[in-house]
Amino acid sequence: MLSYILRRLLIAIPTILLIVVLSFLIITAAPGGPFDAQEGGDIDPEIIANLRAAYNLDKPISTQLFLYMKGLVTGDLGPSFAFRGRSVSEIIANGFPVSAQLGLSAIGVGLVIGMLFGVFAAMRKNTAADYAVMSLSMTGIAVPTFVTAPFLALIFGLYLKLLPIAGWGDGALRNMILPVTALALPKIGVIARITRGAMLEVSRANHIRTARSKGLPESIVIWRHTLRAALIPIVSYLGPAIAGVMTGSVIIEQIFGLPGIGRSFVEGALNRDYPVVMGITILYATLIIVLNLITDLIYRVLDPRIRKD
Amino acid sequence: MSVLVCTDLNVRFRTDYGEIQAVRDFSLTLAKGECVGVVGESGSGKSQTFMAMLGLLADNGRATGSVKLDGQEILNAPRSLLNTVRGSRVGMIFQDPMSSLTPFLKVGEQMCEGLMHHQGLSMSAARARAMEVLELVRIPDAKRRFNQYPHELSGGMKQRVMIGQAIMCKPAVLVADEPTTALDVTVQAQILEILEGLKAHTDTAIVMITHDLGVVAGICDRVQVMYAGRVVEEGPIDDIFHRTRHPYTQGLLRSVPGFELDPTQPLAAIAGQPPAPDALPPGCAFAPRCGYVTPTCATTVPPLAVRPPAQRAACVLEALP
Repeated sequence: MLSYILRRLLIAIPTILLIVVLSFLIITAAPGGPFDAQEGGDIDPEIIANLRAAYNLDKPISTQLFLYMKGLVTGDLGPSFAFRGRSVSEIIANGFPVSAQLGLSAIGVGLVIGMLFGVFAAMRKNTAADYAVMSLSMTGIAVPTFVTAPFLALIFGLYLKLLPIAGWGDGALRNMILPVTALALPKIGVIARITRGAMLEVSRANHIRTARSKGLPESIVIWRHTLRAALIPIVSYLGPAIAGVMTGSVIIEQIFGLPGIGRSFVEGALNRDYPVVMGITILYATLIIVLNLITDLIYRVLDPRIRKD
Repeated sequence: MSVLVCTDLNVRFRTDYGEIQAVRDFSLTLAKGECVGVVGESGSGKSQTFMAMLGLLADNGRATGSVKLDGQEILNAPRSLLNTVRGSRVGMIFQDPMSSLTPFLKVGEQMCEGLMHHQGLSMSAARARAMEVLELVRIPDAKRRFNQYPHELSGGMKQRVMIGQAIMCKPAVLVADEPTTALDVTVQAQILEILEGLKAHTDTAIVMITHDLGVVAGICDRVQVMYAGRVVEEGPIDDIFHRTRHPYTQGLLRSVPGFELDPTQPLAAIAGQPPAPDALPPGCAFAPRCGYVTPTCATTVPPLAVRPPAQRAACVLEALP
């Protein structure tokens, strides 16, 4: 088990290196540069040249990449070009906890409600109740968050005045409810549909027929013999979904005015703020790799057949 | 004393192409400790007959008729009643041991859960019974096997566990649905020996569903032969083998390879295919494949009529040539 984890982490190192090189080349190949906005303005071209020199932008790409990697090894993600005096590490340290708290809450809510919906629908397959739950789930998936988020803010914030319209409030529950709900709705839909499909798939298996032939009550057949096998596709979905949701949602953060890293990432890309984009990309890639490892470890817990190395 | 009495069981399935009748007028009386073989090709309705009795049909299946277990009607009974019958008074073994056990639960847990549920036993009491049963089905090193997962067992072992799991509650009836089909020949023999042992040492009545007349010959007291959803011949085992009254049974017997077989002669086979259940011929379903076909066979379905001393056959011919 431990050697398996170590092996997986070792393989992760070249993967991260490859991602760093590729994303560095792609972002620097994009047209424009960090100080284009100032060029042609009333700033002295000499100052801009000095700026470019200060951030090593006058050097060839290979040297820039080398210098970036050198910093990376010591844990230095570099300075932000757009926000003078702030390092990328600082930006991530400030924004990531917000995004992570928001994202994990949304996934948690999505998982609990989605699975309950899915099991409920599977137990009543092809009935009005099943169709109702599944249509609701499809609506959750189909309506984008930039529609649901303002809608929720309008009703619960502006009309009913129950919850704050926007703001983080240091992560207070009141402030979390609306953004988490908006973020969770599509997750509930996806997880409900995956759960329903997997439950129905497993319920056709021979071992379920055996369980029924033993006269076990339906609750044991479902929770003990069916759900565990049905968890595998849910876990597969959760790995990448958690990584995605933890690295922030620009739309939610913008609408509710939350200080997450989703906004930093998009602003960084628009400003050609190379170090910010690189930093968050590396964070996302690392999360994906770690979560995929966790997913594989959970598979081994769920299905003893995968346990042998 | 009859434990199971099934009368005029009919099983129908609603499909997108209309209604299909899988079983027609099936009747069976099963005495305590008796072993009855139900023989037929794939699709003859033999498995669905018993799935219907225990309420295990697919969602689109409907059963009519009567099935009485110790005098109590169980056909189409509510699930709460069926759950006190299944696994407790009627045990079932299925064809494919590879996929018939839950892959992520330990063998012992799966064996014990039925007994614990039906009789409210503790895990340790159920475990004691499981050890007894594992010995009965001849699983060596029972303590270790108890804590293993199904994938750690061979196919033969798994089928023994299936048998063991089915007899945990000492059922009155054991339905074995092709218990040896998926196993290789030496393992088949071991499984049959275990079932013979059960028959000899317990009161459990056994229904052996199979397409293999060799299996029937070794263990059964009586046989019912099914073709296209109907019983076409039934009777004591010796009569069926030596005084065959239905051309289909005769065809089945002739297609069993034996040691005395002349290797230069091709193996006898019944020509043609069984009819699709949605396109049965108007008369006798076997008529298109029958060597003794008469003009009446194409128009009338022969009833299952008594053939003295103890047989019944559904054929216009009183005796086969």
